[in-house]
Amino acid sequence: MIETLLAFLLALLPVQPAAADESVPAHAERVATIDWGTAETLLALGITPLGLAESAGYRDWVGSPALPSGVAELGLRATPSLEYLAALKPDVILSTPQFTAIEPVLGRIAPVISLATFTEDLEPYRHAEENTRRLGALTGREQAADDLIAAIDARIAKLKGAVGMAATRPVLVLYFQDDRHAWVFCRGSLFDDVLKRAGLKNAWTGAGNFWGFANAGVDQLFAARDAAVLVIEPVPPAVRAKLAARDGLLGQLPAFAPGNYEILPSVWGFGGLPSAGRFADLLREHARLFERGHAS
Amino acid sequence: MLHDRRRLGAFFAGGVYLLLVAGLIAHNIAAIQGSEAVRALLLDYAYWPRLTVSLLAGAALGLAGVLMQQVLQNPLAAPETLGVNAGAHLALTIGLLASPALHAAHPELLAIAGAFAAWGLIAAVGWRWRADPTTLILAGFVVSFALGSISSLLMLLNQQYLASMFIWGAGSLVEDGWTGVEQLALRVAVGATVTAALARPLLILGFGDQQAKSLGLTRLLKPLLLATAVLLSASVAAAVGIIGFVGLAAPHLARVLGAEKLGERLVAAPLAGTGLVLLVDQLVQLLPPGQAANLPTGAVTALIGAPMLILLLRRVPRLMLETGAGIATRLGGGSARRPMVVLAGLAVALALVLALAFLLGRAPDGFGLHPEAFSWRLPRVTAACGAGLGLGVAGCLVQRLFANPMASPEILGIGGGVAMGLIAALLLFADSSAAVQLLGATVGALAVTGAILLLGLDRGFTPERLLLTGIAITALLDASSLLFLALGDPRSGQVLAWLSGSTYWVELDFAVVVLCAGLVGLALSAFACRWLEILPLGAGVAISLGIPLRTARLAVLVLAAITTAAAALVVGPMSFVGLLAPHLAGLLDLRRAGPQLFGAALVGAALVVFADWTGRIVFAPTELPAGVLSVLIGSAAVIGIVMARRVR
Repeated sequence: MIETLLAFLLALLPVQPAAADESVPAHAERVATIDWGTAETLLALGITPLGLAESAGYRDWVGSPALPSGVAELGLRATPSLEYLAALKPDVILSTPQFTAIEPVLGRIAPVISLATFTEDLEPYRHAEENTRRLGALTGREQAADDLIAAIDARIAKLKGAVGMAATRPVLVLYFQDDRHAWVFCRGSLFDDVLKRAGLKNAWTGAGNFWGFANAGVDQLFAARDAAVLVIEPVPPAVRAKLAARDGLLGQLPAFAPGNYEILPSVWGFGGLPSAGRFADLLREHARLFERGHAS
Repeated sequence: MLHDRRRLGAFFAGGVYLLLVAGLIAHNIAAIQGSEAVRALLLDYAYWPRLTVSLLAGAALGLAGVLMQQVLQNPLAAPETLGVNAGAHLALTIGLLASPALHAAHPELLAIAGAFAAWGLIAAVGWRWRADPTTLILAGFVVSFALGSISSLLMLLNQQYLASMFIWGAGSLVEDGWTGVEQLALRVAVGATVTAALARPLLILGFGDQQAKSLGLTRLLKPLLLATAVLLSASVAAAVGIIGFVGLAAPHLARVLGAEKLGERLVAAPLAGTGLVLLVDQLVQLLPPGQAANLPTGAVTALIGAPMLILLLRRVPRLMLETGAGIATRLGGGSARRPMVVLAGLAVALALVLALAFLLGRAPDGFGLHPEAFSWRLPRVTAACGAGLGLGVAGCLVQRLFANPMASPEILGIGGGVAMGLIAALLLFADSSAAVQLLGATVGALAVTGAILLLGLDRGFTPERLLLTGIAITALLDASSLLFLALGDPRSGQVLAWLSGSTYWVELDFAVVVLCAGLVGLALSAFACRWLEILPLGAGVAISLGIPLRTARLAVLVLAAITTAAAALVVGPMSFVGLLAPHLAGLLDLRRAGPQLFGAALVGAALVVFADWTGRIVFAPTELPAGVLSVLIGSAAVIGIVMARRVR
C-alpha cells in the first residue's frame, strides 16, 4: 500500500527522461526491439530479443531466422505497450527513425537507440552493415557481427558467381498489393542493393520513395518487357488466378509469360542483412532466369 | 436574359472542357511506350478500360447522387453521406481478412452487402429521428463514422495484410482488362433503365409524400429508387474504390450549370460526374510511372471536389428544408432533475473513471495496480481528461453559437482544420515541438472557423450549409492526409498515429498544457454564460438584450477553436466527443447554458478517459487509439439511445 502511494506521488513529479546512451551497459544483454529488421539481425548475431512488436507479423513476413517462442509480444510497432515493455526491464530499446515520435516516451523506460536503414541517401545495404556492427558492439558480439557481414557478403558473391559473366537480363522485383497494383523495388531498396552487388541490373529505373519502392499500376509493368520478373509472396489470390489463366493485361504481358517470372517465398524487403542474404540465396536458386537466352 | 447568359457560359465552358480533355487523351495515348504489340496490349487492356471505367464511375456516382437527393428530398444525400462507402469499406475489409478467396472472386458482393447493411442501419436510426432531412444526414454521419472506426481498428491490427485497402480507400482507376468494366457497365445500365422507367413518379416525389400518395404511387417506389442508387454507388466502390465527393457534388454542379429541372438534372448530373472523374483521371496519368499510382484519382477528385463544393454553396439556391429541431429535443423528455445533483453525479462518475484508468492496468502477469506503471499512465489519463473536457466545452460553445444542435467541432470541420494545420506545421518546421504543433493546430482551427463564419455571415447559419461545409472540409482533410501519406514522408507515421487519436506519445508537460487549455476554456465559457444563453435565440433577441453581437460571436468562436485545437492534438480530428457530450448532458436535463457546459465537460472527459483506458486494456499489449474508440463508443451510444427510445 505504501509502495502504491509512493508510486502515485512519484508519478506526479515531472518525469526525467532516461539519459541517452550513457546508461547503456557496456554489454547489453536485455534488448527489446520494435523493428523486425533489427530483430532478425539480433537473432543472426545469436541474441534473442526479450520482446518484439507484432511478432505474429514477423513470423509471417520475415520468417527466417525463426523467432524463438520465449520472445514477448509487445503490441503494435507504432505504439508498443509501455507497461509490457517496462515489465521486461530492458537494458536498451531498439527503434528506427520511423518511430521517432514515440522515442521520448520509450526513453522513459530505457535508453533508445535508433538504427536507420532506409534513409534519404538510398543506401540501405551499407546502413544494414553499419547497424550490424553497432549491434555487435552494443551486445559485445563484435566478432559475430563481422562474421555475419562476411557471410552475407560471401552469399552475394556466390550469387554473382552463379549469374556468371553471361549477358544478363535486368530484374524486376515486386510485391503485388492486389491484381491492379504492385510495389516495385527500385533504387534505395535492400533488394536493389543486392542486385547491384551481384552485378545484376534492376529493370525499374524510375524513382521511388526513401523506402526504395514505387507504387505502380499493372499497366506500368511493361517497362520490364525484356526483364526477368520476381514476384514475392504473399501473392493475392486474384493475381495468382490471372497469371495461371493468362487472363487480363497481367496475364498477357510478355513479362508475365510462363517461364519468364518466378514466385519467390516471402522475404522481407524492409529488413537487414539476414533478409539481404536470404534474397541473394533465392536469386541464386533462380539464376538461370537471368540468362539472356532464357526468355521465352 | 440571365438564363440565356448562363446557358451561353455553360456552352462555352463545355467547349473549353472538351478541347482540354481531348488534348489530354491524345497526349496520354501518345505517351504509351513499348513495342507495337505491347502498345496495342496496353491500349486494349489498360488505357481504354480505364477511360471507360472513369466515364462509368462518374456517371454512376452522379446518378446515384441525384436519385438519393430527389427521393429523400435532401440536398446532402449522397453515397458518402449515407454510409455506402463506409459500409462497403467495412465489408471488404472483413472479407479480405476472413476469406481472401471470396474477396478476390466477388468484391462486388461484399461491397453491395456492406453498403445495404449500412444504409439499413442509417434508415433505421434516421426513421427514429422522424427522418427529417438534416437528422438523416446526421444519422449517416454517425453510422459512417461508427463503421469507419471499426474498419480503422481492423486496419490498425492487420496493417501489413490490408495494404491493398489503402489503395482502395484512395480510389485508383488502374484497370487490367475488361471484366470489371463489363460488370460495372451492366449495373449502370440497370440503374439507368430503372431511373428512366421511373422518371415521372420520381418527379412527383418532389411534391411531397401526400401528393405522391394521392397520385397513387406505391410505397415500394422510394425503396426501389434508393436501392438502385445504393447499388450504383456500391458497384463503383467495388470496382475502383472510393471516388470522393462526386456523388454529392455532381448534382449541385449540374444545377449551377443550369439544369434546374429534375428531368435535366437526371441527365446533367451523371454527365457532370463523368466530366469530373474523366478530367482528373487523365490529369493524374500525366505523372511518370510509379508516381501516378501515388496520386490516386479518388483522393485527387476529393481534393478538387471539396473546395468546389464550398464555393458552390454560395450559389446553391436556398434550400427548402425543415431546420431540424435536433436530437437534443428529440431525445429529451423525462423528469426535470436539479442540475447541481446531476452535475455532482457526473463529477463522481468522472472521478471513478479517472481512478479506474489510473489504477488498473494490464501487464504480462494479468490485471492489477502495477504501481510502477503509474508514471506511464499519468500523462495519458491527464491528456485524455483534458481533451475530453475541452471537446465537451467546444461542442457546447459551437452548438449555442450556431443555434444548432448538430453543430460540433468535428462536424463543422474544425477538427479537420486542426489536422491540416498540424500537417502544415510538420512540413514547414523541422522542429516539431509541442509548441509548434499547438500553434499549427490552433491556426488551422481558427482558419476553418473563420471560413465558416464568413460563409455564414453571407447566408445565415442554416444547418444544411454548416453540415455541407463540415463534410467538405472533412473530405478535404481525408484527401490531403492520404496524399501526405502517399508521399512516403518519414513523418507520416506520426501523422497517422495522431489522426487515429492516440494518447501514446503524450508527455506529462504536454498533457498538463492540454488539461489547462480545457480548464481555461471551461472557466472563460462560464463567464460567457449569459451570451451562450441568449445567442441561440437569434440575432434580433441578442441585440435587443444589449449583447455586443459581433464581439460575442467572435469571442465564442475563438474560444471554441482554441479548446478544440488543444484537445484534437490528443484525440485526433474526428472523435465525436464534441457532438456527443453536450447531447448527453442535455439528455440528463442539463439544458441551460451553465449546467450544460459543465455537464458536457464532465461527460466528455469521462468518455475519452474511458476510451483511452479500454484501448490500453482490451487487446493488451496491442493498444487501440483513444480517438478511434471514442468514435466507436460515442456513436454506438447515440445509435443505441435512439434505437432504444420508442417513437413518439
